[in-house]
Amino acid sequence: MKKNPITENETAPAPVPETPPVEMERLNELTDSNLDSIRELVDLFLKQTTQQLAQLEAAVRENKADDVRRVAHSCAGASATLGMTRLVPMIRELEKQGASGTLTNAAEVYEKAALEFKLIQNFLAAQLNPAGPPPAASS
Amino acid sequence: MKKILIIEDDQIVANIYRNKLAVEGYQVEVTLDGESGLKLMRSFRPDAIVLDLMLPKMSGVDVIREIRGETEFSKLPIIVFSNTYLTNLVQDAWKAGASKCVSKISCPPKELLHMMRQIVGGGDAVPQSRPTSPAAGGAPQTKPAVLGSEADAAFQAELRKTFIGSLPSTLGALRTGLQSLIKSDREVARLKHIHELYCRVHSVNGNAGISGLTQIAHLAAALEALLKELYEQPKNINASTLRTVAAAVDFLGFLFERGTRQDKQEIPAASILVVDDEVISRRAIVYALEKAQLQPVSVEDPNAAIKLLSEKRFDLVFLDVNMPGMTGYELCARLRNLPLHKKTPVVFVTVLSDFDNRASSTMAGGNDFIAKPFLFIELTVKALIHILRGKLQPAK
Repeated sequence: MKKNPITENETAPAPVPETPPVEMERLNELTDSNLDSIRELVDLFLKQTTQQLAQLEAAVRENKADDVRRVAHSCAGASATLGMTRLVPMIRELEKQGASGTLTNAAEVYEKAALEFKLIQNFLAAQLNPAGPPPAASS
Repeated sequence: MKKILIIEDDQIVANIYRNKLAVEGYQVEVTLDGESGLKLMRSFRPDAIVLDLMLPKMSGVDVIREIRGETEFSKLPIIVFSNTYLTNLVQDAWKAGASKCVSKISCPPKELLHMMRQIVGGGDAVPQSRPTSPAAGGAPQTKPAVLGSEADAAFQAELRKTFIGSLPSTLGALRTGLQSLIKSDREVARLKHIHELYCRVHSVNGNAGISGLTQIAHLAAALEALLKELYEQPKNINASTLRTVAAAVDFLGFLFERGTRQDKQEIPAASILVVDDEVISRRAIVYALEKAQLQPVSVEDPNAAIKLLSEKRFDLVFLDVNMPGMTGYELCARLRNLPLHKKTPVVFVTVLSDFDNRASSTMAGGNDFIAKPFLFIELTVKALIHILRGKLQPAK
């Protein structure tokens, strides 16, 4: 068993590292670290979440609280399952506001979630294509 | 005489394997941790190593890396005892240079002997009458005079008898450990109790596996993997995971009473239905079930689920709560009206983990509850409990 820092590290606590947007361990466990399966799942997540964020934006704009709750609930489930640790609380907040029927600062929370989703996209692109995209052909 | 080094932290398990190999003519040494194992390897110079992956101090994977890092042992056969439910760890072992990965469940002593004969030869010389150090420590002794399959059967029966005889005290220790874990409110204390419980369950897994008690070994292996995950990732310790640990310990008690019959040791084939409208969550549930060699049917539409449920008997149903058209609670209430599913275990899987929803799930006829995002191994443990209970204690 790996040593647990809480019980076994007797030195001064190290600075807390910033939480990455994606808990890659979950993705690896879900796919047995098979790169093709990870790519398939990531594609699925990115497509689904892009659609859901568009639906959330519209629902927030039109003040449709129940739609916000319903879409946010689905989005939160998938995001939590795949280990999108920083996105989940934002989506949960939207779900909570939707369930209460009062979208107090939902537009602001949505903006944060949309920004976080961009960070997730960049993070996953870097993880799955570490060399980056091939340079564009010069004209 | 061929030489075998066994690195295994459970002394009883190690002695049982050692005795079997020694009696068949191998020279065997046993050591209980990785560091002393490496040291002994350099002086004893074995023809093969049998290594448990879950070791104290230095992990089994690190031991393999160290061995492979020394030129003269770079080709030494290393047979690894792994846990079926720790797939990532097994992959790490392969990458580090393991020659073979097996679970104790599928590798009773006679199977290890067979493997050794294939890998290093030997095992047919005049047997040793007494094993080498350390002392046997309660393990049954084999008699060199008795050979062949009859002897194997007698050996296995004696192992099983010894193990079954120890079950009441084992269960007492597991329950005491669980109580300490549930009562502890500080994280450091919790981790200590989780580690202690993990060690006990690891021992149950190994001993049940080599005794041929497959059902106990499987559940213990899954619980061991869950406890390992909780120890290494304490953020996953919550009401849901602790409840699952408690249910598993409780069910081990049930298996200790009813799951020791020799003719009922297979993991029963089971039909499982998963209903979740969201594809990624559905896939995660299916994956967790496949870890336990369970092959579920999954659907996204609650109405399609009702149709399937009315046509076919399922042994276990996993339901999302919040689905369009019909909630999981409504689906569960309808399922209870179907003659085939009045008693089928139903587990709700949802992000809604507050008390009200637990109450709703009970009123709708659900049996259990697991909160998203769940640990995959947590769901595996739950599935094993419900499937095995259903088969050993059929609904009236």
